[in-house]
Formats: sequence, structure tokens, C-alpha cells
Amino acid sequence: MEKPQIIAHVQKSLNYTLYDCKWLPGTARFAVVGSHPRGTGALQMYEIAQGDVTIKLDTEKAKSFKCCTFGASLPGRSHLATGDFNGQLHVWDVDKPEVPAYSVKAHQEIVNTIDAVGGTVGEGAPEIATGSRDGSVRVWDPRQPNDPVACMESDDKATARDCWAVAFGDAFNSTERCLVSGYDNGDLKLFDLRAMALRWETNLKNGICGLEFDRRDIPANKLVASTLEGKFHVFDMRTQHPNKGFASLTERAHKSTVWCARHLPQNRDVFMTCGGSGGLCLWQYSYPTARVAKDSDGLDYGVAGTVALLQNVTLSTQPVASFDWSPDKLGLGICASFDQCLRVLIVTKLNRL
Amino acid sequence: YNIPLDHLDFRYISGCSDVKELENIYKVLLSGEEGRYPELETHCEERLRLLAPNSRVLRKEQPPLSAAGLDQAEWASIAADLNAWTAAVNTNTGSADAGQEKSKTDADDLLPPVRAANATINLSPSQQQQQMASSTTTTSGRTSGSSVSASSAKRPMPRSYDEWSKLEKQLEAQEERDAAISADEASIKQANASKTSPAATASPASRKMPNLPNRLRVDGLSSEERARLAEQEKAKGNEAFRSGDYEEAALYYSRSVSASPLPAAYNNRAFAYLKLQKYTACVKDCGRVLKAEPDNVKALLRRATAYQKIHRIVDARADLERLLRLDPGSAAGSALLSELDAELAKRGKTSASAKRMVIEEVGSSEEDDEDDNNAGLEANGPVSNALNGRHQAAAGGSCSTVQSSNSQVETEQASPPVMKDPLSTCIPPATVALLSNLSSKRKPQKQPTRLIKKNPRRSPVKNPATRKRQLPRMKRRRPSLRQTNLTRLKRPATSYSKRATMPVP
Repeated sequence: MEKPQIIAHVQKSLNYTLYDCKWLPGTARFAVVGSHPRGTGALQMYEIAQGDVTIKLDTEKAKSFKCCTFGASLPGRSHLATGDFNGQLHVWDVDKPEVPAYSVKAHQEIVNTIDAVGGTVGEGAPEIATGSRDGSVRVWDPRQPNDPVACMESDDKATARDCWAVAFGDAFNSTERCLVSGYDNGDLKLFDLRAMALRWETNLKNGICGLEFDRRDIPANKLVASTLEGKFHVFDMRTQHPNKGFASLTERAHKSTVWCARHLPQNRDVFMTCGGSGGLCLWQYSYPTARVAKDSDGLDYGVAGTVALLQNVTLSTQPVASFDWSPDKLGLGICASFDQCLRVLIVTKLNRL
Repeated sequence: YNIPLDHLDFRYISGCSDVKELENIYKVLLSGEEGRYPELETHCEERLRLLAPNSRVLRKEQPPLSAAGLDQAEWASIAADLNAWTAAVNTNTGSADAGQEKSKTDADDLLPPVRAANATINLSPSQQQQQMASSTTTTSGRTSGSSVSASSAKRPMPRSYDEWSKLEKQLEAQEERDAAISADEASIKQANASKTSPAATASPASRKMPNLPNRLRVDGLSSEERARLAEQEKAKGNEAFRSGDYEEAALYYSRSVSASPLPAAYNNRAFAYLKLQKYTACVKDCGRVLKAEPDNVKALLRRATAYQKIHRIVDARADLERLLRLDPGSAAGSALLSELDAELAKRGKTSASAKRMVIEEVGSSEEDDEDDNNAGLEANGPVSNALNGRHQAAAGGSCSTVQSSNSQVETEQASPPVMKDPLSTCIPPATVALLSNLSSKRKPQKQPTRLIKKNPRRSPVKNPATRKRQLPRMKRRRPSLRQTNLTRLKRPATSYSKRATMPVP
């Protein structure tokens, strides 16, 4: 079996700091957000054509953007939800970016992370979750102004830890949904939004930089949490033991912070991790022969599988902050790194895995 | 790393099998502290790759490939593929932009409502009582506020006593709900950090299968939308299959075919059913695939395997022969065929006598063997239909194969083992005993026969017309048959193997 190869297709050097990039599903376009040196926000849309990227939209907004997502954009629309350094959540229609379609002051401090479900991915109401430095995680519905539909926060604001990552999952029908949030001290909390309760929490010892479920529109199957100090954890979310929680495996990679992990939309067992030393690693998860086992009390507990490195490349000397797979074309991906470079990558031979 | 200097040696590395030590040696060599020895490094790397290919130490940093670094033809194909895709997608986007306005508002109405309860989940464990009280009030205040506002926006304070009583009931209900929620929260906070919430403990057990309908709602969607949804569900099914959740995979495939009945999805679902040991369903799905694609090799193999498991050997053989005609190099196909042949041969040895007996049981009255065969076979068909109708659809399906195999066999008189098989494998021992009694029902027999005689009527007769036609043939009886039947009545129903070895009268 030949290993997949990672090919750098296009490399574009920009004049602002890139923080996040996301594909617009159903098209060959993607959005890039970042921060100009003068503290204003940059929002650009690019399109791939004939071996190069052409710019389709270039706007500058009041405050630097930290994160973005197309997840709550209903089919047929292109609504980009962004979080900025002031704690504002905006939803922009990229066809008419002058005025935001939805805007709210989500948090008092910077919105570190954003995730959305219900529009292009997952079933049910479109919802956007934001996590902030003030330690709270809030869920917003673009149809409800001003107030979040759910809020997970600690009453004791002084000792609240910064929330660094959020991810939606388990959104396989219109009622079920769960949200997982990771904090800078390694806390990982899983909320069930249907029961509106905390379902599980654990501590991973290192701050959690990235979280992702392998697929958002199926019952929760796997969760990858990437942390500081070059580690990531893969949890098997199918079986929860009352004491042991979820089974997990830990792997070292990159020798520095693992910034994020992104699953291939066409194959939920393949994912890419982005490292603080500018590298990308492509991993494949294999399931164990029996995913569930019984312990001495007769309760079920999960069994974690193994993860194998398929390929690794070094793109730059600066951290790769964000990576996104195209949901329509197998193997096409974009990544943004802190050396102000946007790269379009092609990963070959993924259909043979 | 505490490695003595003489370990950095070719011979030592070749002889060393300790992975940890080899890794350390490699690290030392790479660091260049003791000097640069490139050949030693490669030697150590090869040794390590032999012993532990997944070792972290072997991970190398390399730059990504570029178009220049790739093979020309390969890059050309990749580039062409990408360009074709972008061109297609860009034209789609252009046309989609034009015609999207109307569908937008319709889609909005179909969405589920905004989450009603403006809920807050409190995370900090300290000061539980105070927080619970405050959280109750906040949640109750917010929920009642939101529910009241949802029902009627900005109502003035209730004026009449009726309105007050209604509001009271509402508030009471709210309080009960909030008490339940806070009780849950209290138990969460008091319990361990990793304990689950009571509300959710019920769900993990039932989380094995998603609470999803078996069909997708595809009423107003265009064919492209349906195809896309079907493809999505099929992909989900494939993934569930790969991780061993066959029931879930079958569910996703069913959803996929409800949107767009493609043979590929049916084929995959057949495989899932095969793994779940639902052999009849597998056979049905393979049948659907083969109707659309008669040359589908996978479907033939799967159906043959399913047939073998439900003991429809003849059909299995037919499918395998078809398969081997299409794909002579199929290893699985030929292996299965040889298995089937071995089974048949095993039965064939003991079946020569048994076969004749079986035909007699059904009640062919002619002395002539050949007529016996024909009549017996024909009588077999409908009568066995009648009896098998009592059994599940699986057996019922096999009756039709008895029919078909009979017709097949009539053309090929030369394969006796095959003839025998459908009967013995389809019809359980009890039924065969009953069949024998049926055949002898016209004899002046004692009560047992009369009791048994009732049975055929109880069962739904599959083919009444043919049955009536065939019955008159059961005229002559062999004296020895009577003898054997009597003896059989006294004995309890035996297994097949035993009957096969019984002496022929």
C-alpha cells in the first residue's frame, strides 16, 4: 500500500496575520480571516481556478478576527460566523459583506474559538458556539438576537480558566446535540445540550488547543483533543463507563504544541494534525477487534484503538494555526500559518486507504 | 543516554534486538555528539525499521512535494482532475446563485424552533447551596420569562382571578421542572468529577443505535439533492461498517436507498446483513442488485454465501457457477464452490438409498423408478409448499427453490445428489415424518394417522389447484412402506443423519 503524499499546490503570501481559514461547502471557494497590523480585521474570500487562487472578496472590518466557521450557514447561503478580539460574534453574508446578518456582543473578552452546526453539517437548528478567555462557552442561534440559547460558565469568574476550544458533535437528529469544551489547564468538559447538563469531564494535564469530533452528524464516535507539549488524545465516545469515562489513546507528535486536528470529511478515521513547529501529520485510526469490554462489575467500558502515522511534512518554521479539508474534493486542503502564508495542499492516494 | 562508546558499532547494532537501546543509539548518532557517521546512521535506521517500524524516532521531517518533484504523468492527472472539478463547481455556483432566492424562506420554516429554555449550566463546584438557589432562581426566572413571553409577547399583569390561577399553575409546573434540574445539578456537583449526570445515564445504554428514522424525508428535493443525500448516508454507512457497527451501517444504507435506490447501496446493505447473519434479507438485496446489474460479482458471491448458510445449496452452486463464469480467477468463489461440493459429496454417499426413501415418503405410488422420480418430485413441490407454508418466509422461499430445483433436475437426470438435497435440507424431520403419514393416509390406519391427517389442512396451502391435481397420484402403496411407516410412528422423530442411514425396505 502506497503512502499518501502531501503536495503543496499553491502558496500565497499575504500582508496580514492569518488566524483561520474555512472552505465554503459546495464550492471551490474558501474564506480566510485574520488581523492587519493596525488591529483591524481582515476577511477575504478566494477561489481556486487553474492552478492558482484568485481573490473574490477583500474587506477590512473594525476589529481583528480570531476564528470563523461556515457551519451554521443554511444550504444555499454563505454565512460566515466570525469571532473577534473584542468578544463580538458577527455573521457575514459573504455576498454582501457590508453589514453583518447577525451581530452580538458574545463575550467581554476575546472569542478564542467558534464552532457551528445545523446548517451545512448536522441536523437541527443552526447554532454557533463560542468560547472565550472569560471562561464561558455560549451557544447562539442566529434567529434569536441578544441572548444566548445556552451558556456554560462558572459563577466564580476570578478562577475561571480560559476556554481555548469548542466542538459540536452528536447532532444526528434535530434534538440530540452535544458540545465539548477545552480549557487552558487541560479541563475537558462534555455537555449534553438536550438534557442541558454536564455529561463528562476530565483533565488532560496540558492545555487543550483543538477539539474535533470525527463527524458531527452521527452519534458521537471519536473525539480528538490536541494539546500543548506535543500530544493529542483520541477518545472513543461510543461507550461511557460511570467511573472510567471514555477510553482514550495518547500519541506524541510534532515536538511542540499541536494546534488543531482535522478529520477528513470523506473518511472519519483519517485526520491531520497541525504543529507548532510548522509541520502537518496525517494519521489513520484503526479500531480494535472489540470496541467494548466488560469490567469486573459487568459494566461496559470502551477500548481504544491505535493510530498510525501515514505522512508528515514540514511546511514552515512558524506554527500552522489552522487547516481545513474540502468537503467536496477528496484530498484538497487549505492551511494558514503564522508566517502570513496561505497554502493549498493536495493529499493523494486517500481513496486507497 | 548512558550508551558506552563501543556500542556505536556496526556489529553491535546488527546483533542488538533491544528497541529502546537502538533508539537511543540512533538519537546519539543523529545528534552528532560523538561525531558524524552517516553509514552507521543508515545501518542503525534500517535495523530499527526492521524491528520497530512504528518507532517515533524514525519519523522524519520532510518538505511537502511540489509539482516539480512529482512524476510528470501523475502531476498531469492530478492537475487535470482538480481543474475539472473546479470548473464544474464554479459553473454550479454561478447557476445556483441565480436561482436561490425563493427557496430560502421555505427552508427557514422547516427548521426546528429556537431552543426555548434560556439555560445556564454552572460549572464551579464550590458554594453549592448558594449556587443551587441562585441557579434555580435564574433558570426559573429565565424559563418562565421566556415561556410566558413565548406564549404572549409583553402581556400586562393578569387581571382576573382566572388568569392568576392559570399563571400559578404555570409557575408551579416550572418550579417542579427546575427542582428536578437543580436536583440533577446537585447530584452532579456532589458526585465525582468524572461521574455522569442522571439525566444522561439512561442514554448511554441506548446509545448503541441512533434514534433515526429508517427513511429520509426527500419530498420536495431535486434529484441532485437526493443523490447527494443518498451519497452522504452511504458514506456514513461505509464508515460504520468499517468500525464494525453493522446494525448502524444497515440503518444508514436503508436511509440511502430510501432517497435514491442505487444498486451499490443495496449491495453494501446486503453485505451488512450478511455480517449480521440476516441471510434472507441479504439474499433479497442481492437479488435487487442482480436485477439491475446481472454481472455484479460481489453480489453473486454474497448471495452464494448467504444461500450456503440457509442450506440452499443448489442456489448457492448456481450463483457460484455464474460467478466463476464471469470471474474465473475468483479465489473466494472457487473456495466456496469446493466447500459446497464437499458437502454434497458427503451427503451423496449416504443419499442414494435415502433419496429413494424420501420420494416414497411423499407418496409416489408408481413402481417405476423413473415415474417415481418425476411424480415424487412434482408431488413434492406443492405438498412441501403446503407444509412449509407453516414455517417462516425463509423456508417458504426455499420451497420455491424446491420447485425451481425440481424443474432444473428434471432436465438433468444425471445428478442424483442434487435432487435429494432440497428436500432433505428444506424440510425438517418432523415434517418429513408427517409427509410419510400423509402418503399413507388412505390406508386403513389407526388413530395416529387421522390426527396427523388434520395437519395439512391447518397449514395454508400454497397452491391448492396443483395440490388437488397431484393428490390422486398417491394411489399405490408398498406393503413394505406400510411396515416402515408403522415402525416410524413408534419411533420419535430422528435427525437427518440417522434417517439417511436407515435400511431401505
